[in-house]
Amino acid sequence: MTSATTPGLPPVLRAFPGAVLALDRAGMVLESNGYLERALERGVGGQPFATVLDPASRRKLDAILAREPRAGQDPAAVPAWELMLAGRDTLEPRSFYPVWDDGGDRLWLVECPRDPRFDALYEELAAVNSEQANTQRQLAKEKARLARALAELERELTENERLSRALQGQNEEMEAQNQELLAMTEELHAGQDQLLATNQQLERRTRELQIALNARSRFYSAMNHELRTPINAVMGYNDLLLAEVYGSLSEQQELAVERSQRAARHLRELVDDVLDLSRLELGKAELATQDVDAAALVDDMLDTLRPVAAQAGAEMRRVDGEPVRVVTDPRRLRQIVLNLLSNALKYGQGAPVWARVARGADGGLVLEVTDGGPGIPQEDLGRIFDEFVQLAREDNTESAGRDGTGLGLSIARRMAHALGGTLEAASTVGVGSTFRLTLPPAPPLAAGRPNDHPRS
Amino acid sequence: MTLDEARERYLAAVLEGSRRTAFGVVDEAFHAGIGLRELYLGVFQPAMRDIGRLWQENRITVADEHLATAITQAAMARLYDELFRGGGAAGPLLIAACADTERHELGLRMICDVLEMEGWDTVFLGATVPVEDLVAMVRERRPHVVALSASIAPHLPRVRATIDAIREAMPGAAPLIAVGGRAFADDPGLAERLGADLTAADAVQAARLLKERVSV
Repeated sequence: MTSATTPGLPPVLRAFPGAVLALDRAGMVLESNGYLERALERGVGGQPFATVLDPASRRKLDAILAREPRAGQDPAAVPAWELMLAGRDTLEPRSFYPVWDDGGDRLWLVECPRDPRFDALYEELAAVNSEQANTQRQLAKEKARLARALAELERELTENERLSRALQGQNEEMEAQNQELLAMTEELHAGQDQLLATNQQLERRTRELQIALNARSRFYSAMNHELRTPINAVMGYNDLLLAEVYGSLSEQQELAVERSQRAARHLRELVDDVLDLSRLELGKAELATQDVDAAALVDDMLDTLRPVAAQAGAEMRRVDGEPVRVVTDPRRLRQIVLNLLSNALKYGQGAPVWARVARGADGGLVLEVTDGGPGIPQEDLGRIFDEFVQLAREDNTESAGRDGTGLGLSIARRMAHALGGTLEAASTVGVGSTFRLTLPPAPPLAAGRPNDHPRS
Repeated sequence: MTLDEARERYLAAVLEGSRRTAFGVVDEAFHAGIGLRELYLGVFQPAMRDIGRLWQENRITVADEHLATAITQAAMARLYDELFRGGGAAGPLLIAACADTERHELGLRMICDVLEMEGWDTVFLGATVPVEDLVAMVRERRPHVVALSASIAPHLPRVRATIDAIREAMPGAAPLIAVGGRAFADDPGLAERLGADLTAADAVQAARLLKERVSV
């Protein structure tokens, strides 16, 4: 602070509540009432006034200094001049009235003092105004952002709705498929129930059938014992009669007894067959196996039946002799061969009969009995192995019709099965029939059970 | 209404101190098809420049200037709904702060608004933001540009402190720092000496320079 500039000033100016400065025409501060120094906290005396002004205010000061002294006021200009005064860390506007002294050498700058609270009020108003504008800016920006978010949300909602509808469609479709599946499942259940019912029915029937079969088998074996005894008695007495133990017989008597004896023999065969059948059905056909020469066995049977063949006028022989040995029950095999050969003679009507022994692919036996007889119609081939079936013959003579029990083939097949083999028939009407027996090299362990089917 | 007419009538209204008349001129111009950018660069900015010139010529007082500033701030604020409508805000981010007191922040806000029109995302913090708060925000939001303004020399140390704090907080990753305001007008080298990357004299130049420097 410089006090050198103050002494020349009248006391009234020193007491003036504002800055009073005297500048020379170059803008140097010649005098000051000290007010400015106190406000700016710096000295100004002897320095260019411009040093405490901002650049814009310096240009204004230059404009004031450049004016002609005593020149009239610019009517457009405000009477006071505002200059920005730079303090230590402030820059504030102050208004000055420029007054030239009479000589035009000095420019007096007299501050137009104002209540400093007006400045505070200005600042405050400016702050409020700015804050409001900034708030509005932020709000507008936020509003725009929210609007965008809302639009996005709406778009998402729409998309969701669309998806939802699509899903619902799919859902309904799935529901329909589900219903369909349920219906199918119910149908399946119904079918299953029906199957179960049918199964139970079948099981019941099988049980009933088994019971019936058992009853029949028991009946057969009981009846066989009961029948055999009287038949043996009849035959025994017939033999005694024919041996004329009870006196000589007339020719007619002898013929009658022979007929009676033949009938009795047939009856016994029938009973024997039935006994065999019931045994097979009951699983009581025990096998007594041994090594058997099949060709020799067949030859033996051919020899046995030679008289029958001669009687029928049929040629009968074995062809293609091949030694085949199998382990089997010779008694059963003999029974089968006997049945096949006698059938061939019986139904061949004098046609030749051939027996052929060969080795099977499994090393077992293949035995074929072929006759050149009338043959069996195709529709009958399927049932000739059934029980009590005898095919009608064109020359259905009395003796032929009653010869045999109708059980022979059925028994033969069952025996073949019991031995682990098969018995099949093939025939061409007008050419002849072939019965083919196959037996394994040895009977399987399970063989001999009545209803056991052969392995195919 | 032509742009020239709008500017003259607007200036007359703010000199008169009538915000109602000023708003009426803006509305009329807007409805006559004068766009936001034209209003900013062809009406508000020249009007405020004229206000400064008139003060320089001693035709108006600081009080007149305050009033004109206040009215123009409000006139701009009335356009904000229009300004931000439909903006995608996907452009580069600029954070602006004013080192001065509030009555000097109009120029910086004008630059922010013009950049916003050109697709930038701008955050205008105004005056009196503590340096540490500004730095924290810059670290968090990682703007492409930080713009600082100062209109009087006594506020320049604050600008310098802010620049230093940002560079210190984000070494090697600091955003582009732009400065401007009346305090830089008479000294072309001042911005660089304070550590800023660039400076501009007005909104048009600022937008052009920033577009050149920031590629997204």
